[in-house]
Amino acid sequence: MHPGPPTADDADERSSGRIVKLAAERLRSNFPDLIAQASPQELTQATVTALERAREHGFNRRRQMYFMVHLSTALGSGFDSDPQYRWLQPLLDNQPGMAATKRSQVMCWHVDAFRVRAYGGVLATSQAALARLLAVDQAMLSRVSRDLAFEGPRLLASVFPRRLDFMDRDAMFSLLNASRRADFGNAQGSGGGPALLLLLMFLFGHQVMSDPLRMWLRPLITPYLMGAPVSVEAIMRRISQHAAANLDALWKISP
Amino acid sequence: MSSPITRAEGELMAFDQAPDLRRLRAAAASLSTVNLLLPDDPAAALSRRSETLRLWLSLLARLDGFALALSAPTPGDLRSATDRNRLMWRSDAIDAEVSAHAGQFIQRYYTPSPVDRDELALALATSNLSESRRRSLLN
Repeated sequence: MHPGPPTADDADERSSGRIVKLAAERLRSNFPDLIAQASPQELTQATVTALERAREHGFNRRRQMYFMVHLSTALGSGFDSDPQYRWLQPLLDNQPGMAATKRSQVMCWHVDAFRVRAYGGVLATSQAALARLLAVDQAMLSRVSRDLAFEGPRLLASVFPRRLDFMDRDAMFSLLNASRRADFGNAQGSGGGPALLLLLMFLFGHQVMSDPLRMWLRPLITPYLMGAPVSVEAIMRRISQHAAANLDALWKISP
Repeated sequence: MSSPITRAEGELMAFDQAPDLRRLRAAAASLSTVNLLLPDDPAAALSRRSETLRLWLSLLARLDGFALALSAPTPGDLRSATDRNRLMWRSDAIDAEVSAHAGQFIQRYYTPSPVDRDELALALATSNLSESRRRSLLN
């Protein structure tokens, strides 16, 4: 079978492939620590997914698309459906009388404001606060998991208290339920699964367990969730390092 | 050259000394040109947002006060009913314009996050706006 003459679809595909490649290269050069543990295929998958979501929200210009890829990287894959970031929704949706360029600029304004209010505005100080994660141990994870609705928000507040100012009742409820669901089936587990998953969703987004850039987390935490004797301290150290790289990415976002 | 915020404040002060709807319209025109998206320290940008909101609300409060004085004149008000009626039309026209601009500002720069809702609610509570006006701006 002979290939037919080039069509408009072929051109779109080539141009789309090029944007994926360029966006992935930007991630690699801008956030090397954050994506260090992702394979090239995972990086491509993360970029393709973020670009598809960008187009669905009406962001078709290259700069807007890069911005959305950066947001997906720093706030987590699927941030646009993450209850923690529901406050961005009015700007993600197409609005009559507000061009996509303006929407992305205003959204960047809000992300800057979020950074200042949720984290205090100084990268080094925010990264230093992650040392609090190192205090999380098996006893704490078990205690929080046993009374997730009450203790879960307290655990999150112990890491970044002002982040909770951006989470309404529904957002917290959704996150608590999502972490319970993600641990479902691990009846013989460590007992600390829901709390650990809640923390991960808080730090890296509600789709953390399927985020292509964070697939390395699965082999790290699955043994723990299944009840294998693993060091919570070692897990928390890796999470804290990744969270520091994640904050760095958040600080580098520009429209 | 003064900033749009300073110009708007000047127009509001001038209106307080001699109520003239053109002053309120000029204040609205200045506030509409405030650009929060200029590169700035995010904390300074947040403070500029609060200041701009405060001025939109005080502009609306002045419009409300002006309309109230027209619809319920005091015994010393010597303006004729026809004059008051004409002024009311103008006031209504400016009100529609200002309400749309203020609403758009709030919609763009105050997200549904609890922290933004709190800041907006506090600004509305400390304004002189009527309850119905506050409700319409919150929704």
